[in-house]
Amino acid sequence: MARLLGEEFVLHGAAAERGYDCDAYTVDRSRPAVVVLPKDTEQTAQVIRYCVAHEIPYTARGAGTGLSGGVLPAMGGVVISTKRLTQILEIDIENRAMRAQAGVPNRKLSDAVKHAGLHFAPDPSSQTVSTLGGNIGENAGGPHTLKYGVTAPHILGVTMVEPGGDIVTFGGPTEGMPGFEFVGLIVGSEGTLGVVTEAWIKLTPIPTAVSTALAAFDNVRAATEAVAEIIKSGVIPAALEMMDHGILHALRLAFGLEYPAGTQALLLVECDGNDAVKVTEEMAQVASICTRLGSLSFVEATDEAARQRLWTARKKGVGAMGRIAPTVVTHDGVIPRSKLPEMLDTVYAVSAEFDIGVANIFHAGDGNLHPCFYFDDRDPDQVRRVVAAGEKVIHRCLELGGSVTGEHGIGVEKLDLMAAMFTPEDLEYQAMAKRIFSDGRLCNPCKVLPNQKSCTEHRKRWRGMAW
Amino acid sequence: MAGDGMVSPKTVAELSEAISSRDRIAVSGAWPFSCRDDANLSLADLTGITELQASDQVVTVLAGTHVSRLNEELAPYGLELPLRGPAFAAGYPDTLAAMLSYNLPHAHQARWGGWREWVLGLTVVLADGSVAKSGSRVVKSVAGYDSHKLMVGSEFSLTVPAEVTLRLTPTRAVEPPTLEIHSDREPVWLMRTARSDFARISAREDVVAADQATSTLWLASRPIQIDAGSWGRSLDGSGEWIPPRETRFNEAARAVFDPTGKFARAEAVVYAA
Repeated sequence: MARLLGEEFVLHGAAAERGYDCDAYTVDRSRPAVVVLPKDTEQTAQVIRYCVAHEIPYTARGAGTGLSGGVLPAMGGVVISTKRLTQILEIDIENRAMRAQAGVPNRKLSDAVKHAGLHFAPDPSSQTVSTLGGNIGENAGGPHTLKYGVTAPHILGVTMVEPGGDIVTFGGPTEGMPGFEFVGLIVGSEGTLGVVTEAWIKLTPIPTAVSTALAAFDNVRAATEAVAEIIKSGVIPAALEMMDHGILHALRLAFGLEYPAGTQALLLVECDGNDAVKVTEEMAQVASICTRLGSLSFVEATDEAARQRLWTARKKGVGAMGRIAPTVVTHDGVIPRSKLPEMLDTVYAVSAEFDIGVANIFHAGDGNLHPCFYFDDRDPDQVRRVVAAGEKVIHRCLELGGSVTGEHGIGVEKLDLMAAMFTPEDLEYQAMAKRIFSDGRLCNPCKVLPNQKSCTEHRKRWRGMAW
Repeated sequence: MAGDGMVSPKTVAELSEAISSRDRIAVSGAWPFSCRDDANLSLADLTGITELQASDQVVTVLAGTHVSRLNEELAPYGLELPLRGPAFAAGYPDTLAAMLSYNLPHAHQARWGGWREWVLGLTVVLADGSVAKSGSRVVKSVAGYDSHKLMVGSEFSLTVPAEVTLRLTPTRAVEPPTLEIHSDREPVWLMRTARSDFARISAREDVVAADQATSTLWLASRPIQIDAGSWGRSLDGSGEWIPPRETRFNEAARAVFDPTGKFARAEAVVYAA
């Protein structure tokens, strides 16, 4: 690799192997043989052609903030880091489009066009570090996807190195062309259909009127019922997020944040638009629903500083969990929004059954649950209980008509759950989509689809390294 | 091979049987095949709502259902698929299967997106008759490959959509379309331009309707030249204008999904940029 690209584009040795053996899902680990940091699409293609010629598996990686092991180098081999792909290549304000390299952090995309009143709408909680390429790979969500959609509708085109080593481009700055819509298939394919190196992204005007509110409830069920009622009312908030007593406890310990006495759940609601009157009306309707369901308080803010204060609990919640336990596994499942009250009851029951602490901080408006189980991963028994509890929660999501993942992806974490959600015919049909591209056995192997050749043996090794 | 007369399945199982027993499938009533006389599969009887989750704003419906019929059924719940207005009606197909298969621009696209955003899950019948799905019945899911995204815009050339799960919109939130009607002539072409070219191009005298919000124009005649960053297509499916791009993956997709060439498809004339 050093001969191919030059010494400065390659990392190897024990530190590199340790640093790149997992993402933010730490239960499974697998070490790469080498890490490369190409500076452009052409260098990326050189690496992949070399891998193809020598039958070496390769896995692309952004910031490593993924939560399902999507960038775990499952069979070892080469990790292709996008750390040096950090150029914004073209900004077209008039046409509300930008072309950028895959390694640009999400937030920098928005910062680059803020002066023009535009932004890149997808806003995963990791947005200060997580990259455009990673967001594309996982079809990342975020708090504002309730109104603005996940990553997919904001990607106009991609340039990628397909698994045969060729550089190809799909889509472009003007949407909706006749013909097959490969971009929609590639976004969310977890880096298994090729390595995306550049993308055309859609820029969205920043709404001129924004109102944020924080409602406190003395029981979780009332808060989840408020969510279902808000959705049912026809108001479409920009964000509708929930935090339960577990998160509030962590926030109190970590940052000394206090909420009204007796608070068991917080709802963060944001309404936005370009018509301030309409935004005010929407928020009034949200307030009346929360009051009717017995909220302890309903604090509203429209100026930027006050709004940011209301967001503090949501933004710092997961980080604060570090004060309660050494390890946190954030699960990800989806249910129909009307089933939230029932589902939260299940989460608490499972937590009690397996004797594992749980806190909930999630995108309630989408029905996208994030139970955070906290434990000590040095204790193998606790790890086993956490895995079992997570599976039980996800199976309940399926029974309620939901999905095994709303935004974190299948990765390696949820391979076994695919067969619970899909029939063998469904999985074969989805595998056909993968066969459109060149033979993908080397391109991020063992992800998305279960039962891939020779992955079963490797799996034992991944889990073994954590214990 | 079974007889090649027209068949109108009423269920997904019957649709599967119809497709597996024939060597050639041409869908009737599907634009632009509506004028074909060799059509042998009608989706006209594959209709009805399978499951309406009104409080979740999600519906699962058989794919032969007409959009207008679906919206009538949803009206009592204050929900709809935001497809109204002249640009939707003019020369467009009207079943869900055909509309998602052609994925045409419409009057509410700027705010509410299109089929790529609305189709949450899709059950299809493959060329060999097998029934398979991707996606989910909830508003957010990233499980598995989104094969349904590939079927949006695939013009019945890869699979036949059988049942679709759609994201719905509260009617109270739907505002009047941003589209402007310029004349009552029949549109024969539609075109999408770069935003920066829209004002200039929309001054053409043959513009029937124009949507500034999505830079889309419906035209009464075929334009004779294309600007960089634009694309266009005829409303009878006979011709298109697209920038140069990868085509080998189109062939690869057909080879994977329809290896025997069972699904008839109209070959559009591609006009050079």
